[in-house]
Amino acid sequence: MSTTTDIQQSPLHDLHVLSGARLIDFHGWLLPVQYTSVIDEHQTVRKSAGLFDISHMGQLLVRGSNSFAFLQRLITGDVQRCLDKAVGVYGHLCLPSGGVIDDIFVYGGKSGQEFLVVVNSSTHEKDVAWFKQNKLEGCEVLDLEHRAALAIQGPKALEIIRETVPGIAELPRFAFQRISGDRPNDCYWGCRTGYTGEEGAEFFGPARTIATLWKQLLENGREAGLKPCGLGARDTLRLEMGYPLYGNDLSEERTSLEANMEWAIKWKKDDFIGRAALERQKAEGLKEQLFAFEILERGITRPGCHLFKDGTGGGLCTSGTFSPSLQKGIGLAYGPAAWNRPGATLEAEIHNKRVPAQVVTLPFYKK
Amino acid sequence: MTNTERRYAKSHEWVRVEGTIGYVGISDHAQHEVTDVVYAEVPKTGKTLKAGDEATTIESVKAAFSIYAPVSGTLVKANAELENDPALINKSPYDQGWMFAIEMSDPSELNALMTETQYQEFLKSPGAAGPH
Repeated sequence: MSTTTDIQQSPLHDLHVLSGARLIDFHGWLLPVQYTSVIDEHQTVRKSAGLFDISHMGQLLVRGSNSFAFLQRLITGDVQRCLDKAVGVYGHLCLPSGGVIDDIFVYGGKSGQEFLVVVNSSTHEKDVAWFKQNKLEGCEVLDLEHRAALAIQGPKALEIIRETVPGIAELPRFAFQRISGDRPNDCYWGCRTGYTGEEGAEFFGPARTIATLWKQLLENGREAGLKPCGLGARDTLRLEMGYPLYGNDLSEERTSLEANMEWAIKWKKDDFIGRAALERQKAEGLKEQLFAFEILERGITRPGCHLFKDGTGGGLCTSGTFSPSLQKGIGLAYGPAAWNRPGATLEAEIHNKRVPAQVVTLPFYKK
Repeated sequence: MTNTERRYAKSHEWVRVEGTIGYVGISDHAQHEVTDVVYAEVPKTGKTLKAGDEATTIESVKAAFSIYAPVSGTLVKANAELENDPALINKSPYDQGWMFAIEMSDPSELNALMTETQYQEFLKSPGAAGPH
């Protein structure tokens, strides 16, 4: 457990306190879990727009002539797409075993010499060590400090962004742009990415710049119904889309293939750490795999809940919640790969009672 | 004790007495800590409970919570409305969000529970974190 002395506060902390947010310790960061209610905030994002403080995410800058080759060797995604299209690329950092160290986003442009890498807070230190350990000559890894980040998400997000920051709302999904601030060091990144399945953008930059942007967006978005939203809604929103959460659905003990995320592995690119193990596993076939399920009666599976098929155990829930959009329990679980057939019936053990469940395809929430 | 007066358990249930029957729910503080209730089990009537026994469970987006009987007796009524609208526990914790009623076997147990003033004091103490 973290003590109060080593817990980190977001640069937006004072704003959260003023708006009455309930704060929790999230991997050593004191962050809002909710402002009013998880369900209200969830619906706000699905119907208008929500603003999230994501300052806990680690921001690394990789730069130098060899940056492209370095990143290409580290992640399962294809960084060539950054150079071709100036878009953010999602990928896994894998161990040689194929186990997942983290899932990350890499943003970089045509020069191939400078990339912003966004990593999870729970893996931040481990990732920095992995980057430094595998670093190539001719590139440098900076763990950026005094940074902040926010995400604005929802069907009304783009119109609010358009009114506040020029050039971002017009970008295609996954694209990004560097925005110069008022002062030379105020440069920040606007990226058309997110973790909710809605339109919107994420902004990464110096703490003061992002704090100003937070206030401007809230002001400009008031009429459209923009509200600050906490980590509680962020979790129900991401799970409705089937997006994995590192530490729950992804870990060093499971490969990208076991996580059912082959789409994040770009086989056509050159070698990367973990490739050989992943190829071998693909050829041999999977014993276990992550799959999506919904609960057919009342009940909510939580991480750690066991799942059964025809009376036989072997399934373990890694993410589970109540879906505010679907009004039922949904979850992700690891289990025998043969279970992963949409429509297959299972049983979930909830409070010592077996409740019927069904394997479904992702996303849970379809527009 | 008037019929609008509530007594509170340390586990954040309240009990309001009408004759020999005690109506039970959770406090406003507790509903706030629990967050949005999405399922509320409507307990079966007829069971005998001792003060401190688990009477029912509710579930929020966050987690499941046990609700304990603040007094001993027989569970004689349950609020069936909660099955369709569990959010009543959040919206109206002291009225429409009541959960069940107990025919008290020992009304003197009420004296061991906190008054409104004592409960408000208790909430300021470090040990008063929400239900677990």
